[in-house]
Amino acid sequence: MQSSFFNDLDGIIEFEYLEPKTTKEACAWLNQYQENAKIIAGGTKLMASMRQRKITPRYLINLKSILNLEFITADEEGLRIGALTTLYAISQSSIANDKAKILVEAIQQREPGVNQARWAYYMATMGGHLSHPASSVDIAPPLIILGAKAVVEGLKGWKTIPLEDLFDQNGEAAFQKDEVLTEIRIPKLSADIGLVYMKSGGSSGAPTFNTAVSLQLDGKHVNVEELRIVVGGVTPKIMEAREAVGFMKDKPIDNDLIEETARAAAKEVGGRSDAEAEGRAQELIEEAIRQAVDRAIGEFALGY
Amino acid sequence: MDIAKKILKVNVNGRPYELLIKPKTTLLQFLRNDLGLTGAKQACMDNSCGACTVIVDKMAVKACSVLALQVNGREVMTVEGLASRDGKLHPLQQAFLDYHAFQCGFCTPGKLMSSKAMLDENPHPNEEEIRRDMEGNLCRCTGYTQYIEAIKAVAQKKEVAK
Repeated sequence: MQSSFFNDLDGIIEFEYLEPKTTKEACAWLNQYQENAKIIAGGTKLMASMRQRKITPRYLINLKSILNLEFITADEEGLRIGALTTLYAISQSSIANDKAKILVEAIQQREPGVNQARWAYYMATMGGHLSHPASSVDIAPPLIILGAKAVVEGLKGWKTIPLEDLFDQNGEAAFQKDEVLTEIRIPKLSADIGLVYMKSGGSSGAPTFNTAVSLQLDGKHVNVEELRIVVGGVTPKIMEAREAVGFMKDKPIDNDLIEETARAAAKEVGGRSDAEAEGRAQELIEEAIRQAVDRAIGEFALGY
Repeated sequence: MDIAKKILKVNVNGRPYELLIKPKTTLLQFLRNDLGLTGAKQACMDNSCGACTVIVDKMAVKACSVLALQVNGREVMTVEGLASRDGKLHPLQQAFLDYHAFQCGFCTPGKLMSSKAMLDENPHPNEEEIRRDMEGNLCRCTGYTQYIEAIKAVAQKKEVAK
């Protein structure tokens, strides 16, 4: 890698800057120029990659020239967020704070290394963040918990992809290279679901983990009706503990059950991680479940 | 490949500009080389240090890591636009002077612009918020105490005035 000291983009090849008016036009250019074309939205990741010569596009397609990809709106079906909406705009939005508080919490706790303070917070877009497995690790877990779907448009039309299926085990995107992520749809959720996002910062270079938990109790606040646990950062892929939640489902909530479930979930999502990492993940999941129980019970919660 | 230049229309410190530029021109290059506004500093060039921070539509951005064309049609403020036209310093500039909040001064323009954006969004930050929001602005002279005092002083004055 060349030194970046005083070395602006001058050293890289020239690129053509394309400003599509519609998503279809952007897709057509992506289809035409294939590997030579790259999309730019906020540019927080792309600019760094270009400067390091990891990416040297001949055509840069600026999605910001397309109208109507930057919005936050809610209706009877739920919340819709345009792919070019910045994380800053989402965190400031009263609609997002009301309908998807757990997403706002995740945005506000993003990795400092990714944050680079206010700059990336202002510039980074929802779509850009979800276009790469590494950068999606902060905000994808709460979106998965919320049951969000990504709307992807291509030359042949559009489709929706559940957030958990956005990337496969190898980190490959589920949509084609000539398709564009245009929107995130979050369904309306029942008010009595406890939603929690928590993060554990690793010390001495250990990775940061996060978890998003959703939990719903029965009407008497005794049995667990629904539980989802999604964990990011422990393995390269964001993992959902599907088997471990079976420990708690349809059983009366108690302390031992929470501990047992957290232990099983950490083991399930841990892959080949070491005992220290598994222990940290277990602590994080356990605390998140306790807080989710409290949030599900609401104002009558006694504190789990 | 013959790359066409693009027209950039932008308002910088209250003045409209319309120039033909190469697509790979960064905002920092545009400000320093095309407009002669050298307040924003060229340093790390990988968005780590914050010496190049300017404000775009009320948002603090690192000019080294934004293409000039990305700010097409927007309003940019650099440290040159911080003082009023009659030369009166902005309260943050005055506070930085009063609290000796710099040594060599190279990082100061970036710190001023980051702190202005922070106070515009959150007029009364506590010290923890100031430290968190200013973490993207590094100082090689390690002057990390006085400027926090300076920002706190401005925030407190606003509160008194209110």
